[in-house]
Amino acid sequence: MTSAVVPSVAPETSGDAALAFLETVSQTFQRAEAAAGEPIDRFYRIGGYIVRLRFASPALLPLITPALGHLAIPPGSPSALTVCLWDSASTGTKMPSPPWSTGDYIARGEVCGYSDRRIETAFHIGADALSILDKERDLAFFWVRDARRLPYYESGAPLRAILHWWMRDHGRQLVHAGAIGTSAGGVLLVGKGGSGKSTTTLACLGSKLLYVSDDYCLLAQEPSPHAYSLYNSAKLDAGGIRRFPHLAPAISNADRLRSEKALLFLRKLYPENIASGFPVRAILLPSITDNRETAWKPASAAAALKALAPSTLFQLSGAGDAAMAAMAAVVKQVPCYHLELGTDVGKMPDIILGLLARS
Amino acid sequence: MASSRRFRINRPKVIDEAFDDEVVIINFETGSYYSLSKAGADVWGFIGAGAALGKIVEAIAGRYEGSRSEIEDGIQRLIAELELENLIVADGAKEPGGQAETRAPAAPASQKTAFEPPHLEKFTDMQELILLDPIHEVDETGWPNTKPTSPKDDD
Repeated sequence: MTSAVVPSVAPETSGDAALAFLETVSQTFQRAEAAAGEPIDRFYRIGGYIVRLRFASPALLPLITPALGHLAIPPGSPSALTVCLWDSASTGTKMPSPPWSTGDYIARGEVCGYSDRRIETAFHIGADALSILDKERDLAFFWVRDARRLPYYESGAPLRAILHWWMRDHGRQLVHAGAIGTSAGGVLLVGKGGSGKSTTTLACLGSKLLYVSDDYCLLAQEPSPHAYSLYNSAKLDAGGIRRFPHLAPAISNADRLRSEKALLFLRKLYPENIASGFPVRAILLPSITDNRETAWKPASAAAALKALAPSTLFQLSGAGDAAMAAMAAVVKQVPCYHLELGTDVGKMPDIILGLLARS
Repeated sequence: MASSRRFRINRPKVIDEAFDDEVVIINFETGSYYSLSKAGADVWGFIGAGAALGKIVEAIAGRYEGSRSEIEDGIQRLIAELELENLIVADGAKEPGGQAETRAPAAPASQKTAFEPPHLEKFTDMQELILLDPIHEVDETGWPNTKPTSPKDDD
Protein backbone atom coordinates (compact mmCIF):
# COMPACT_ATOMS: atom_id res chain seq x y z
CA MET A 1 0.00 0.00 0.00
CA THR A 2 1.13 3.52 -0.68
CA SER A 3 -0.36 6.61 0.80
CA ALA A 4 -2.43 8.84 -1.41
CA VAL A 5 -2.81 12.51 -1.90
CA VAL A 6 -6.54 12.73 -1.95
CA PRO A 7 -8.64 15.64 -2.99
CA SER A 8 -12.01 14.65 -1.60
CA VAL A 9 -13.57 15.79 -4.82
CA ALA A 10 -11.65 15.20 -8.02
CA PRO A 11 -11.13 18.51 -9.80
CA GLU A 12 -13.42 19.21 -12.71
CA THR A 13 -10.64 19.77 -15.15
CA SER A 14 -11.92 17.80 -18.03
CA GLY A 15 -15.66 17.56 -18.51
CA ASP A 16 -15.19 16.95 -22.24
CA ALA A 17 -12.60 14.26 -21.56
CA ALA A 18 -14.93 12.49 -19.13
CA LEU A 19 -17.78 12.60 -21.62
CA ALA A 20 -15.56 11.40 -24.45
CA PHE A 21 -14.35 8.48 -22.36
CA LEU A 22 -17.92 7.63 -21.38
CA GLU A 23 -18.82 7.42 -25.06
CA THR A 24 -15.82 5.17 -25.71
CA VAL A 25 -16.92 2.87 -22.90
CA SER A 26 -20.51 2.88 -24.16
CA GLN A 27 -19.40 1.89 -27.66
CA THR A 28 -17.15 -0.82 -26.25
CA PHE A 29 -20.07 -2.29 -24.33
CA GLN A 30 -22.14 -2.32 -27.51
CA ARG A 31 -19.37 -4.22 -29.27
CA ALA A 32 -19.13 -6.68 -26.39
CA GLU A 33 -22.89 -7.14 -26.41
CA ALA A 34 -22.87 -7.83 -30.16
CA ALA A 35 -19.90 -10.17 -29.87
CA ALA A 36 -21.41 -12.23 -27.08
CA GLY A 37 -24.67 -12.55 -28.96
CA GLU A 38 -27.46 -12.46 -26.44
CA PRO A 39 -27.49 -9.91 -23.63
CA ILE A 40 -29.12 -10.90 -20.36
CA ASP A 41 -31.30 -8.51 -18.39
CA ARG A 42 -32.02 -8.78 -14.66
CA PHE A 43 -34.25 -6.41 -12.71
CA TYR A 44 -34.07 -5.45 -9.03
CA ARG A 45 -35.93 -3.11 -6.71
CA ILE A 46 -33.14 -1.37 -4.82
CA GLY A 47 -33.91 1.37 -2.33
CA GLY A 48 -37.38 1.62 -3.83
CA TYR A 49 -36.07 2.14 -7.37
CA ILE A 50 -36.05 -0.34 -10.23
CA VAL A 51 -32.56 -1.06 -11.45
CA ARG A 52 -31.83 -3.03 -14.61
CA LEU A 53 -28.58 -4.93 -14.93
CA ARG A 54 -27.73 -5.68 -18.55
CA PHE A 55 -25.04 -8.34 -18.93
CA ALA A 56 -23.30 -8.59 -22.30
CA SER A 57 -22.37 -12.21 -21.55
CA PRO A 58 -23.15 -14.72 -18.79
CA ALA A 59 -19.64 -14.50 -17.29
CA LEU A 60 -20.41 -11.92 -14.62
CA LEU A 61 -23.93 -13.13 -13.92
CA PRO A 62 -23.09 -15.64 -11.13
CA LEU A 63 -20.61 -13.20 -9.62
CA ILE A 64 -22.85 -10.14 -9.41
CA THR A 65 -26.44 -11.35 -8.98
CA PRO A 66 -26.39 -13.61 -5.88
CA ALA A 67 -25.82 -10.69 -3.49
CA LEU A 68 -28.81 -8.87 -5.00
CA GLY A 69 -31.00 -11.94 -5.44
CA HIS A 70 -33.40 -11.08 -2.60
CA LEU A 71 -34.30 -7.84 -4.40
CA ALA A 72 -34.97 -9.41 -7.81
CA ILE A 73 -38.24 -8.56 -9.55
CA PRO A 74 -39.77 -9.85 -12.77
CA PRO A 75 -38.61 -8.18 -15.98
CA GLY A 76 -40.64 -5.61 -17.82
CA SER A 77 -40.95 -2.63 -15.50
CA PRO A 78 -39.33 0.59 -16.68
CA SER A 79 -36.05 1.02 -14.85
CA ALA A 80 -34.81 4.16 -13.14
CA LEU A 81 -31.18 3.13 -13.62
CA THR A 82 -29.56 0.79 -16.13
CA VAL A 83 -26.15 -0.73 -15.48
CA CYS A 84 -24.32 -2.39 -18.36
CA LEU A 85 -21.83 -5.08 -17.32
CA TRP A 86 -19.23 -7.07 -19.18
CA ASP A 87 -15.74 -8.44 -19.11
CA SER A 88 -13.22 -8.50 -21.91
CA ALA A 89 -12.20 -12.13 -21.48
CA SER A 90 -15.59 -13.73 -22.14
CA THR A 91 -16.70 -11.29 -24.83
CA GLY A 92 -13.35 -11.06 -26.61
CA THR A 93 -13.71 -7.30 -26.61
CA LYS A 94 -10.68 -5.27 -25.68
CA MET A 95 -11.23 -2.12 -23.64
CA PRO A 96 -9.52 0.88 -25.27
CA SER A 97 -6.63 2.39 -23.36
CA PRO A 98 -7.55 4.70 -20.49
CA PRO A 99 -7.10 8.36 -21.43
CA TRP A 100 -5.46 9.07 -18.08
CA SER A 101 -2.01 8.21 -16.77
CA THR A 102 -1.11 6.01 -13.80
CA GLY A 103 -0.48 9.16 -11.78
CA ASP A 104 -4.14 10.09 -12.05
CA TYR A 105 -5.32 7.24 -9.83
CA ILE A 106 -6.20 8.53 -6.40
CA ALA A 107 -7.73 6.93 -3.36
CA ARG A 108 -11.22 5.44 -3.25
CA GLY A 109 -10.93 4.46 -6.90
CA GLU A 110 -11.23 8.04 -8.06
CA VAL A 111 -9.55 9.11 -11.27
CA CYS A 112 -8.36 12.69 -11.23
CA GLY A 113 -10.26 14.84 -13.73
CA TYR A 114 -12.82 12.26 -14.86
CA SER A 115 -15.75 13.05 -12.59
CA ASP A 116 -17.92 16.11 -12.91
CA ARG A 117 -21.52 17.14 -12.39
CA ARG A 118 -22.72 14.70 -15.02
CA ILE A 119 -20.25 11.84 -14.97
CA GLU A 120 -18.70 9.81 -12.16
CA THR A 121 -15.70 7.60 -12.88
CA ALA A 122 -13.80 5.15 -10.68
CA PHE A 123 -11.28 2.43 -11.33
CA HIS A 124 -10.68 0.18 -8.35
CA ILE A 125 -7.19 -1.15 -8.83
CA GLY A 126 -7.45 -4.08 -6.40
CA ALA A 127 -10.69 -5.27 -7.97
CA ASP A 128 -9.55 -4.40 -11.51
CA ALA A 129 -12.97 -2.88 -12.07
CA LEU A 130 -14.07 0.24 -13.95
CA SER A 131 -17.31 1.97 -12.93
CA ILE A 132 -18.82 4.92 -14.78
CA LEU A 133 -22.16 6.63 -14.29
CA ASP A 134 -23.84 9.10 -16.63
CA LYS A 135 -26.25 10.90 -14.30
CA GLU A 136 -27.96 12.65 -17.17
CA ARG A 137 -28.99 9.38 -18.81
CA ASP A 138 -29.25 7.24 -15.63
CA LEU A 139 -26.90 4.85 -17.38
CA ALA A 140 -23.86 3.17 -15.88
CA PHE A 141 -21.14 0.81 -17.05
CA PHE A 142 -19.19 -1.78 -15.07
CA TRP A 143 -16.24 -3.45 -16.75
CA VAL A 144 -13.64 -5.92 -15.60
CA ARG A 145 -10.87 -7.42 -17.65
CA ASP A 146 -11.66 -11.01 -16.69
CA ALA A 147 -14.73 -12.04 -14.70
CA ARG A 148 -12.85 -15.08 -13.39
CA ARG A 149 -10.52 -12.73 -11.52
CA LEU A 150 -13.21 -10.72 -9.78
CA PRO A 151 -12.32 -10.73 -6.07
CA TYR A 152 -14.77 -12.56 -3.83
CA TYR A 153 -15.49 -9.44 -1.82
CA GLU A 154 -16.77 -7.72 -4.95
CA SER A 155 -19.28 -10.54 -5.36
CA GLY A 156 -20.37 -9.94 -1.78
CA ALA A 157 -21.03 -6.25 -2.34
CA PRO A 158 -21.17 -5.64 -6.09
CA LEU A 159 -21.53 -2.31 -7.89
CA ARG A 160 -20.95 -0.27 -4.75
CA ALA A 161 -19.57 2.78 -6.52
CA ILE A 162 -22.35 3.00 -9.11
CA LEU A 163 -25.12 2.41 -6.59
CA HIS A 164 -23.57 4.92 -4.20
CA TRP A 165 -23.39 7.66 -6.86
CA TRP A 166 -26.85 7.14 -8.25
CA MET A 167 -28.67 6.54 -4.97
CA ARG A 168 -27.00 9.60 -3.40
CA ASP A 169 -28.76 11.75 -5.96
CA HIS A 170 -32.05 9.99 -5.25
CA GLY A 171 -32.28 10.40 -1.48
CA ARG A 172 -30.48 7.21 -0.46
CA GLN A 173 -27.05 7.20 1.16
CA LEU A 174 -25.05 3.99 0.93
CA VAL A 175 -23.57 3.40 4.38
CA HIS A 176 -21.23 0.88 5.94
CA ALA A 177 -23.59 -0.58 8.51
CA GLY A 178 -25.44 -3.71 9.45
CA ALA A 179 -29.19 -3.57 9.94
CA ILE A 180 -31.55 -5.95 11.77
CA GLY A 181 -35.02 -5.46 13.16
CA THR A 182 -38.70 -6.08 12.58
CA SER A 183 -41.02 -4.67 9.98
CA ALA A 184 -41.99 -2.02 12.54
CA GLY A 185 -38.43 -0.84 12.98
CA GLY A 186 -34.85 -1.91 13.41
CA VAL A 187 -31.37 -0.95 14.43
CA LEU A 188 -28.31 0.08 12.47
CA LEU A 189 -25.05 -1.54 13.57
CA VAL A 190 -22.14 0.80 12.98
CA GLY A 191 -18.40 0.53 13.43
CA LYS A 192 -15.22 -0.44 11.70
CA GLY A 193 -14.42 -3.97 10.56
CA GLY A 194 -14.01 -6.31 13.51
CA SER A 195 -16.25 -4.34 15.84
CA GLY A 196 -18.91 -7.05 15.85
CA LYS A 197 -21.47 -5.96 13.27
CA SER A 198 -21.52 -9.37 11.60
CA THR A 199 -21.47 -11.24 14.91
CA THR A 200 -24.55 -9.34 16.01
CA THR A 201 -26.34 -9.66 12.70
CA LEU A 202 -25.69 -13.35 12.23
CA ALA A 203 -26.56 -14.18 15.83
CA CYS A 204 -30.05 -12.88 15.11
CA LEU A 205 -30.70 -15.00 12.01
CA GLY A 206 -33.56 -17.38 12.53
CA SER A 207 -35.01 -15.30 15.36
CA LYS A 208 -37.93 -12.86 15.24
CA LEU A 209 -35.54 -10.29 13.83
CA LEU A 210 -35.24 -9.69 10.12
CA TYR A 211 -31.96 -9.23 8.27
CA VAL A 212 -31.54 -6.14 6.13
CA SER A 213 -27.77 -5.81 6.02
CA ASP A 214 -24.52 -7.25 7.24
CA ASP A 215 -22.10 -4.67 5.90
CA TYR A 216 -23.71 -2.14 3.56
CA CYS A 217 -27.22 -0.75 3.29
CA LEU A 218 -28.97 2.32 1.95
CA LEU A 219 -30.13 4.96 4.35
CA ALA A 220 -32.89 7.48 3.71
CA GLN A 221 -33.43 10.39 6.05
CA GLU A 222 -36.74 11.71 4.69
CA PRO A 223 -39.43 11.67 5.89
CA SER A 224 -37.87 9.65 8.70
CA PRO A 225 -34.78 7.44 8.91
CA HIS A 226 -35.26 4.26 6.90
CA ALA A 227 -32.80 1.47 6.06
CA TYR A 228 -33.05 -0.34 2.72
CA SER A 229 -31.46 -3.69 2.09
CA LEU A 230 -28.79 -3.82 -0.57
CA TYR A 231 -27.02 -7.19 -0.35
CA ASN A 232 -27.97 -10.47 1.31
CA SER A 233 -24.34 -11.42 1.81
CA ALA A 234 -22.14 -11.82 4.85
CA LYS A 235 -18.45 -12.45 5.31
CA LEU A 236 -17.01 -14.57 8.10
CA ASP A 237 -13.48 -15.24 9.25
CA ALA A 238 -12.41 -18.58 10.71
CA GLY A 239 -13.67 -17.64 14.18
CA GLY A 240 -17.02 -16.67 12.75
CA ILE A 241 -17.36 -19.98 10.93
CA ARG A 242 -16.72 -21.81 14.21
CA ARG A 243 -19.22 -19.57 16.03
CA PHE A 244 -21.97 -20.07 13.44
CA PRO A 245 -21.45 -23.59 12.07
CA HIS A 246 -25.08 -23.80 10.94
CA LEU A 247 -24.28 -21.18 8.28
CA ALA A 248 -21.70 -23.40 6.57
CA PRO A 249 -24.14 -24.55 3.82
CA ALA A 250 -24.44 -20.92 2.65
CA ILE A 251 -20.71 -20.46 2.11
CA SER A 252 -20.06 -19.82 -1.56
CA ASN A 253 -16.26 -20.07 -1.58
CA ALA A 254 -15.66 -23.08 0.67
CA ASP A 255 -12.79 -24.22 -1.56
CA ARG A 256 -10.84 -20.98 -1.09
CA LEU A 257 -11.04 -20.33 2.64
CA ARG A 258 -7.27 -20.47 3.07
CA SER A 259 -6.95 -17.19 1.22
CA GLU A 260 -10.42 -15.66 1.47
CA LYS A 261 -12.98 -15.00 4.15
CA ALA A 262 -16.09 -17.11 3.88
CA LEU A 263 -18.68 -15.39 1.67
CA LEU A 264 -22.26 -16.35 2.43
CA PHE A 265 -25.49 -15.58 0.66
CA LEU A 266 -28.09 -15.69 3.39
CA ARG A 267 -31.04 -15.86 1.03
CA LYS A 268 -30.19 -19.52 0.52
CA LEU A 269 -30.70 -20.42 4.18
CA TYR A 270 -33.09 -17.76 5.46
CA PRO A 271 -35.27 -16.58 2.58
CA GLU A 272 -38.09 -15.69 4.95
CA ASN A 273 -35.89 -13.70 7.31
CA ILE A 274 -34.59 -11.13 4.85
CA ALA A 275 -36.46 -7.84 4.65
CA SER A 276 -36.23 -5.13 2.04
CA GLY A 277 -36.01 -2.50 4.76
CA PHE A 278 -37.49 -0.93 7.87
CA PRO A 279 -37.65 2.34 9.78
CA VAL A 280 -34.49 2.95 11.79
CA ARG A 281 -35.35 3.17 15.50
CA ALA A 282 -31.88 3.11 17.05
CA ILE A 283 -28.19 2.94 16.26
CA LEU A 284 -25.94 0.43 18.00
CA LEU A 285 -22.16 0.67 18.28
CA PRO A 286 -21.01 -2.90 18.95
CA SER A 287 -17.70 -3.83 20.51
CA ILE A 288 -16.45 -7.31 21.25
CA THR A 289 -15.70 -8.16 24.88
CA ASP A 290 -14.72 -11.28 26.79
CA ASN A 291 -17.75 -10.95 29.05
CA ARG A 292 -20.37 -13.67 28.88
CA GLU A 293 -23.32 -11.30 28.98
CA THR A 294 -24.00 -8.55 26.49
CA ALA A 295 -24.50 -5.09 27.97
CA TRP A 296 -25.53 -1.76 26.55
CA LYS A 297 -25.36 1.89 27.55
CA PRO A 298 -26.37 5.13 25.85
CA ALA A 299 -24.00 6.61 23.30
CA SER A 300 -23.86 10.15 21.99
CA ALA A 301 -24.87 11.00 18.45
CA ALA A 302 -21.31 12.19 17.86
CA ALA A 303 -19.96 8.78 18.90
CA ALA A 304 -22.35 7.14 16.44
CA LEU A 305 -21.21 9.44 13.64
CA LYS A 306 -17.56 8.65 14.42
CA ALA A 307 -18.37 4.95 14.12
CA LEU A 308 -20.42 5.34 10.94
CA ALA A 309 -19.00 8.17 8.87
CA PRO A 310 -15.26 7.51 8.42
CA SER A 311 -15.68 3.85 7.50
CA THR A 312 -18.40 4.82 5.02
CA LEU A 313 -16.75 7.89 3.53
CA PHE A 314 -13.30 6.34 3.12
CA GLN A 315 -14.73 3.49 1.04
CA LEU A 316 -16.96 5.39 -1.37
CA SER A 317 -15.67 7.24 -4.41
CA GLY A 318 -16.65 10.88 -4.35
CA ALA A 319 -18.40 10.77 -0.97
CA GLY A 320 -18.04 14.05 0.89
CA ASP A 321 -19.97 16.62 2.82
CA ALA A 322 -23.40 15.62 1.47
CA ALA A 323 -22.88 12.06 2.65
CA MET A 324 -21.64 13.32 6.01
CA ALA A 325 -24.71 15.51 6.38
CA ALA A 326 -27.04 12.64 5.48
CA MET A 327 -25.49 10.36 8.10
CA ALA A 328 -25.41 13.13 10.71
CA ALA A 329 -29.10 13.83 10.17
CA VAL A 330 -29.93 10.21 11.01
CA VAL A 331 -27.71 9.84 14.09
CA LYS A 332 -29.26 13.02 15.49
CA GLN A 333 -32.79 11.65 15.10
CA VAL A 334 -32.63 8.28 16.82
CA PRO A 335 -31.21 7.03 20.14
CA CYS A 336 -27.73 5.54 20.03
CA TYR A 337 -26.26 2.84 22.26
CA HIS A 338 -22.91 1.20 22.86
CA LEU A 339 -23.42 -2.56 22.64
CA GLU A 340 -20.77 -4.49 24.56
CA LEU A 341 -21.02 -7.93 23.01
CA GLY A 342 -20.83 -10.93 25.29
CA THR A 343 -19.81 -14.41 24.30
CA ASP A 344 -23.33 -15.76 24.82
CA VAL A 345 -24.56 -14.68 21.41
CA GLY A 346 -27.77 -16.70 21.77
CA LYS A 347 -29.26 -13.90 23.84
CA MET A 348 -28.60 -11.28 21.19
CA PRO A 349 -32.08 -11.27 19.59
CA ASP A 350 -33.81 -10.63 22.92
CA ILE A 351 -31.38 -7.85 23.75
CA ILE A 352 -31.99 -6.15 20.40
CA LEU A 353 -35.75 -6.58 20.74
CA GLY A 354 -35.52 -5.07 24.22
CA LEU A 355 -33.64 -2.06 22.91
CA LEU A 356 -36.16 -1.65 20.10
CA ALA A 357 -38.98 -1.67 22.63
CA ARG A 358 -37.34 1.28 24.40
CA SER A 359 -36.73 3.30 21.25
CA MET B 1 0.63 34.86 17.08
CA ALA B 2 -0.95 38.10 15.81
CA SER B 3 -4.52 38.65 16.98
CA SER B 4 -5.57 39.67 13.45
CA ARG B 5 -4.60 36.30 12.01
CA ARG B 6 -7.44 34.45 10.44
CA PHE B 7 -7.84 30.84 9.38
CA ARG B 8 -10.23 28.80 7.34
CA ILE B 9 -11.22 25.16 7.36
CA ASN B 10 -9.25 23.26 4.73
CA ARG B 11 -12.24 22.32 2.58
CA PRO B 12 -12.93 20.18 0.60
CA LYS B 13 -10.20 17.95 2.00
CA VAL B 14 -11.69 18.45 5.45
CA ILE B 15 -15.35 18.14 6.38
CA ASP B 16 -17.00 18.48 9.75
CA GLU B 17 -20.24 18.05 11.60
CA ALA B 18 -21.19 19.97 14.74
CA PHE B 19 -23.20 18.59 17.64
CA ASP B 20 -24.31 20.42 20.78
CA ASP B 21 -21.00 19.91 22.57
CA GLU B 22 -18.72 18.22 20.08
CA VAL B 23 -17.41 18.58 16.55
CA VAL B 24 -16.45 15.58 14.42
CA ILE B 25 -13.84 16.38 11.77
CA ILE B 26 -12.70 14.16 8.89
CA ASN B 27 -9.53 14.63 6.87
CA PHE B 28 -9.77 12.90 3.47
CA GLU B 29 -6.13 13.59 2.74
CA THR B 30 -4.80 11.45 5.58
CA GLY B 31 -7.72 9.22 6.51
CA SER B 32 -7.62 10.56 10.06
CA TYR B 33 -10.64 11.82 11.92
CA TYR B 34 -10.92 13.98 14.99
CA SER B 35 -13.10 15.17 17.80
CA LEU B 36 -13.20 18.51 19.58
CA SER B 37 -15.40 19.29 22.55
CA LYS B 38 -16.24 22.21 24.85
CA ALA B 39 -14.04 25.26 24.18
CA GLY B 40 -12.31 23.39 21.35
CA ALA B 41 -15.61 22.92 19.56
CA ASP B 42 -16.36 26.63 20.05
CA VAL B 43 -12.97 27.61 18.63
CA TRP B 44 -13.62 25.41 15.60
CA GLY B 45 -16.96 27.09 15.07
CA PHE B 46 -15.38 30.55 15.24
CA ILE B 47 -12.68 29.53 12.77
CA GLY B 48 -15.38 28.28 10.44
CA ALA B 49 -17.16 31.62 10.75
CA GLY B 50 -13.99 33.42 9.73
CA ALA B 51 -13.24 35.09 13.05
CA ALA B 52 -9.76 36.48 13.66
CA LEU B 53 -7.67 35.02 16.46
CA GLY B 54 -8.20 38.02 18.73
CA LYS B 55 -11.96 37.78 18.35
CA ILE B 56 -11.86 34.07 19.09
CA VAL B 57 -9.95 34.64 22.32
CA GLU B 58 -12.37 37.41 23.28
CA ALA B 59 -15.38 35.21 22.63
CA ILE B 60 -14.00 32.21 24.51
CA ALA B 61 -13.09 34.43 27.45
CA GLY B 62 -16.70 35.59 27.46
CA ARG B 63 -17.97 32.03 27.69
CA TYR B 64 -15.47 30.32 29.99
CA GLU B 65 -13.95 31.08 33.38
CA GLY B 66 -10.18 31.35 33.21
CA SER B 67 -7.28 33.74 33.04
CA ARG B 68 -6.76 35.57 29.78
CA SER B 69 -3.27 34.12 29.35
CA GLU B 70 -4.47 30.58 30.02
CA ILE B 71 -7.21 30.98 27.41
CA GLU B 72 -4.87 32.57 24.87
CA ASP B 73 -2.26 29.84 25.35
CA GLY B 74 -4.85 27.09 25.05
CA ILE B 75 -6.33 28.50 21.87
CA GLN B 76 -2.98 29.17 20.28
CA ARG B 77 -1.81 25.63 20.99
CA LEU B 78 -5.00 24.23 19.50
CA ILE B 79 -4.69 26.36 16.38
CA ALA B 80 -1.09 25.28 15.93
CA GLU B 81 -2.19 21.66 16.19
CA LEU B 82 -5.05 22.16 13.73
CA GLU B 83 -2.59 23.71 11.28
CA LEU B 84 -0.15 20.86 11.78
CA GLU B 85 -2.89 18.36 10.96
CA ASN B 86 -3.83 20.41 7.87
CA LEU B 87 -7.35 20.82 9.18
CA ILE B 88 -7.14 24.60 8.90
CA VAL B 89 -5.02 26.90 6.80
CA ALA B 90 -4.11 30.56 7.19
CA ASP B 91 -6.61 32.79 5.46
CA GLY B 92 -5.27 35.88 3.82
CA ALA B 93 -8.64 37.61 3.71
CA LYS B 94 -8.38 41.11 5.15
CA GLU B 95 -12.03 41.82 5.69
CA PRO B 96 -13.11 40.79 9.15
CA GLY B 97 -15.42 37.83 9.19
CA GLY B 98 -17.38 35.96 11.82
CA GLN B 99 -18.55 39.11 13.54
CA ALA B 100 -22.07 37.86 14.02
CA GLU B 101 -20.82 34.58 15.44
CA THR B 102 -18.44 36.08 17.97
CA ARG B 103 -20.89 38.83 18.91
CA ALA B 104 -23.01 36.27 20.76
CA PRO B 105 -23.48 37.57 24.30
CA ALA B 106 -20.97 36.37 26.84
CA ALA B 107 -22.29 34.10 29.55
CA PRO B 108 -22.95 35.72 32.92
CA ALA B 109 -20.06 35.03 35.32
CA SER B 110 -22.24 32.70 37.37
CA GLN B 111 -22.98 30.56 34.32
CA LYS B 112 -19.48 30.34 32.94
CA THR B 113 -17.82 26.95 33.03
CA ALA B 114 -14.17 26.55 33.84
CA PHE B 115 -11.90 26.81 30.82
CA GLU B 116 -10.03 23.63 30.03
CA PRO B 117 -7.28 23.72 27.42
CA PRO B 118 -8.85 22.32 24.24
CA HIS B 119 -7.78 18.82 23.31
CA LEU B 120 -7.83 17.60 19.71
CA GLU B 121 -8.64 13.89 19.85
CA LYS B 122 -7.21 12.12 16.81
CA PHE B 123 -8.22 8.72 15.40
CA THR B 124 -6.15 6.88 12.81
CA ASP B 125 -7.80 3.45 12.91
CA MET B 126 -9.46 3.79 9.50
CA GLN B 127 -6.54 5.16 7.52
CA GLU B 128 -6.00 1.88 5.69
CA LEU B 129 -9.39 2.26 4.03
CA ILE B 130 -8.23 5.27 2.07
CA LEU B 131 -4.81 4.00 1.04
CA LEU B 132 -4.25 3.63 -2.67
CA ASP B 133 -3.69 0.11 -3.95
CA PRO B 134 -0.24 -0.14 -5.49
CA ILE B 135 0.12 -0.31 -9.25
CA HIS B 136 2.76 -2.93 -9.98
CA GLU B 137 2.55 -2.68 -13.75
CA VAL B 138 0.20 -1.76 -16.57
CA ASP B 139 -0.80 -4.01 -19.42
CA GLU B 140 -0.19 -3.28 -23.09
CA THR B 141 -3.33 -1.13 -23.27
CA GLY B 142 -2.43 0.94 -20.23
CA TRP B 143 -4.79 -0.59 -17.64
CA PRO B 144 -3.20 -1.43 -14.29
CA ASN B 145 -2.27 -5.03 -13.72
CA THR B 146 -2.50 -5.99 -10.11
CA LYS B 147 -3.16 -8.98 -7.99
CA PRO B 148 -6.49 -8.81 -6.21
CA THR B 149 -6.01 -7.49 -2.71
CA SER B 150 -7.90 -8.46 0.37
CA PRO B 151 -10.85 -6.28 1.22
CA LYS B 152 -9.92 -3.22 3.20
CA ASP B 153 -12.81 -3.57 5.53
CA ASP B 154 -14.38 -6.68 6.84
CA ASP B 155 -16.39 -7.51 9.83
